[in-house]
Amino acid sequence: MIKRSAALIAVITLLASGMVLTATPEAAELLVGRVHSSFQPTDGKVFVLVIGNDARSGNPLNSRSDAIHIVGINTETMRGGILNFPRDSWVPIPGYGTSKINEALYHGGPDLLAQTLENMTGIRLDYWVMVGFEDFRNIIKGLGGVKVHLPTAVYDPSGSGARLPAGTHTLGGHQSLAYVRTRHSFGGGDITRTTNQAGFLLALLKKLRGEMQKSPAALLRWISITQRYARYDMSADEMLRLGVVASEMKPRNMGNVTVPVSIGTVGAASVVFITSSASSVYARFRETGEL
Amino acid sequence: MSSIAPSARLGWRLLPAVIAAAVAVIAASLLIGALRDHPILHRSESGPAVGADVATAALWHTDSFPVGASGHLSKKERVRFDVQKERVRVTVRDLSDALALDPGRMPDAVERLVTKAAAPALLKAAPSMPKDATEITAIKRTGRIGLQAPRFAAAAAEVNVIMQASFEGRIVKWRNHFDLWLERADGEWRVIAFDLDRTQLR
Repeated sequence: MIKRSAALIAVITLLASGMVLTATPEAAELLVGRVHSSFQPTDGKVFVLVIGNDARSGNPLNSRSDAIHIVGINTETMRGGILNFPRDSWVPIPGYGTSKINEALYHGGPDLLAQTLENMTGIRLDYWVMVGFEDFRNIIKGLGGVKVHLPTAVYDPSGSGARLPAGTHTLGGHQSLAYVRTRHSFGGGDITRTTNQAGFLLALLKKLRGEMQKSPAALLRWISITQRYARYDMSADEMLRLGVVASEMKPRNMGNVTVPVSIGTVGAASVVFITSSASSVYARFRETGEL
Repeated sequence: MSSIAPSARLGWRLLPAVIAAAVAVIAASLLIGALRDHPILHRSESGPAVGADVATAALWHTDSFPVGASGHLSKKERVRFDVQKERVRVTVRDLSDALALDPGRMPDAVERLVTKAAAPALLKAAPSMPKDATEITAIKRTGRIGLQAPRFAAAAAEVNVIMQASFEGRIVKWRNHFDLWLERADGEWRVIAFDLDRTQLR
């Protein structure tokens, strides 16, 4: 009885204090908070194809794509996702029959790769951005490295050259390239690699947001570095607007999904087949821009 | 002895409840106190769009710097930077003053200085002046503006305007913090995106 009375007193007191608070209009709506705004694409979604080619240096023509990601942003919900395609995905390439998806870049550059992906997914790609090995190294170096967390050690001395113990590291240009290129360090091979590449993009996003909290001008530096080393099909102002939108995205609101695949062979070549369940992933991404 | 023991037990049994009640009361008073300390800045304010006393506002202190240059600016680039930094500075100050000091001037300022795409959102987000506050003025106005080298067609500004007013017989202060991203098109600088934050100061 005493316990009940005591509990009752406590509850009444708490309720009373709550009632006082809710009765004060200020409690519901405190200070003017942070307000974000930027350009809105006409349909509230924007899709960017991010390509990493295997050109060691110089002209990336006649190179193949080692990294293929569609980054989607829903500017109304400020959620998004990165859809990753293993480079060995066996897909129809317009005008070139069926082949590994990385051949599309070799045959027709970023535009053909974009067309290949658009035909597969039904997603209209608004822009593409492409970097080669040296570009990538220079970008990461220019940004001052990127902090990544590795749940397991990454060791691929004869492949990408990665030698990284498990834990959190700030990777410079060379180490970053070695990390995003390695596929021998993981059981999942190329499938794990493509997922890691998207994780690296999210680490970049986290870094951008951190720097922009200190100074809004940080975005301009990032854009300058990108413009210096990457190839892209957007105007300077479009890049600025995209950058502002990207910087508003919280990495935790960005899904990281690799298309579902099964491993197989075609002739002597080992390939991966995108499974039929991918169509529902495409549909969701296409409709919402989110994963 | 035996008459004391039950009372002591009763006291111990009541202790958690007494502590909970005390904590609740203290928390409630602290919260109510905090609300009383921050009574004037509400987004829902719909008072008349009175402006601050611009004549007594503190002078602007703005510095501008080039961003993203791969090395030192060439003489030509330096000249371009000097020309554009003045234009951006005027745009940033003009819009910030409208936002922080003179809500009545917002529609005109937004039309001149903000892109059509961003204008509605800025008008909607712009903070109003505190209702019933008097002697409103800006006691500090600062801006840091980065211009992207070498074209100087994009810029980002970080603006802080510290305001002071008299409210119910006491002086209150608050900080307006604006991040503005601008682009130059057809020779004119316009804000394409923004981030507004307003915090009451102790």
